[in-house]
Amino acid sequence: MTLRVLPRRRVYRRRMTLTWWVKNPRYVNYILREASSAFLTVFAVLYIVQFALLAAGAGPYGRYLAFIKSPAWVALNVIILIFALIHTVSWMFLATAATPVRIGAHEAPSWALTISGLVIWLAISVGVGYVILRG
Amino acid sequence: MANDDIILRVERYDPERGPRPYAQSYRVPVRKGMMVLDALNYVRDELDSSLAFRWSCRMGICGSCGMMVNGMPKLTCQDPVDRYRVRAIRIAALDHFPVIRDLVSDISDFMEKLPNIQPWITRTEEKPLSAGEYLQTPEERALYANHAACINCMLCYAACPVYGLDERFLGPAAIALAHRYNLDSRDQGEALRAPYLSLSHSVWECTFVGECSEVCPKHVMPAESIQREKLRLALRWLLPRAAFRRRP
Repeated sequence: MTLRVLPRRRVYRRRMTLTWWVKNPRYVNYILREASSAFLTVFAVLYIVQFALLAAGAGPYGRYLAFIKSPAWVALNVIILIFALIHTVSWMFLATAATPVRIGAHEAPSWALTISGLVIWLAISVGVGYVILRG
Repeated sequence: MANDDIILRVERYDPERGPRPYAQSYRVPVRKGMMVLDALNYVRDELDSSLAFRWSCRMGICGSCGMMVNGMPKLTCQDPVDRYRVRAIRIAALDHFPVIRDLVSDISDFMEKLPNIQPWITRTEEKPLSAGEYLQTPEERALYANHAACINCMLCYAACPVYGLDERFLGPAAIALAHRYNLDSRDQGEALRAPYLSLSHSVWECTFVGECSEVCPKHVMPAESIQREKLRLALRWLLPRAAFRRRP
């Protein structure tokens, strides 16, 4: 008996487009969450630069203080803050879904962990804000 | 056109006809309780017997009737037509898989990857037959019960942009199945699965889009399974082996 070799199948492959993430709101959320890391990186770099200017003396740091009052700088920081909030809230939802917490024989529902995480985060933020603003 | 008719706009592909797909529309009278699969069966029985698609059980068990319905991966036997408040419903083969013909996808890639995660109970220490079955408490079964519901319908792969961009990715269902067996108290194969799950195109390639869990018709939650496997692999690396040893 001879083995008949079938011809290679001709298939059609539908490729992903550059705008694949626009078709579903959950993909948009995902892209926003991923994009937030770029804005947080910008903030971290600028934060380090701020310390370098502080170390450089009163002149450079004074010019920096004048610069951060500009509308463009404030706008950039507002955008960074929005992305930081998106990142934090989405992280709370994802991390709790990924981390099983067992209470006896039962697994704690992820929504309860998410709410707990958000409450703790808000409490810490308010505490830190209070300490900074009081000083 | 009757008020309760719908239009199925099907993306068809025939390799004999040409290298590109083409659209074909069919008018289907809607019955009460009609599913998208019922509408497709009406087309094949009454309008066009050349339309190719897979189906079998019609009750969400066999996992063979997964398709893109209005751009979303759906198990068509569980997808009511009246959910779509539009006259025309777009139907296409599952995203991210090669299309063989019309709505039939080639899922060989998944089938070839699947044995690598050893989706069966693996024992390193076998009991003699005289010692009886490997018993399990209801609590031990509850640990993996929802992960065991996977029907390999491939909706999670069609929803996963990571797999769509890089088909070397092991993918949601395969990792969820590995997680299911790793959680099973009768299994001792986690150490054998770990090297494959640790590869760069396995769990670590997932960026937690989460859409696989959203589209899963059996609520297997593959996205969460993958993150939990990441945690288990990290702990395996950190903790002594004894911490993962199963009772004989």
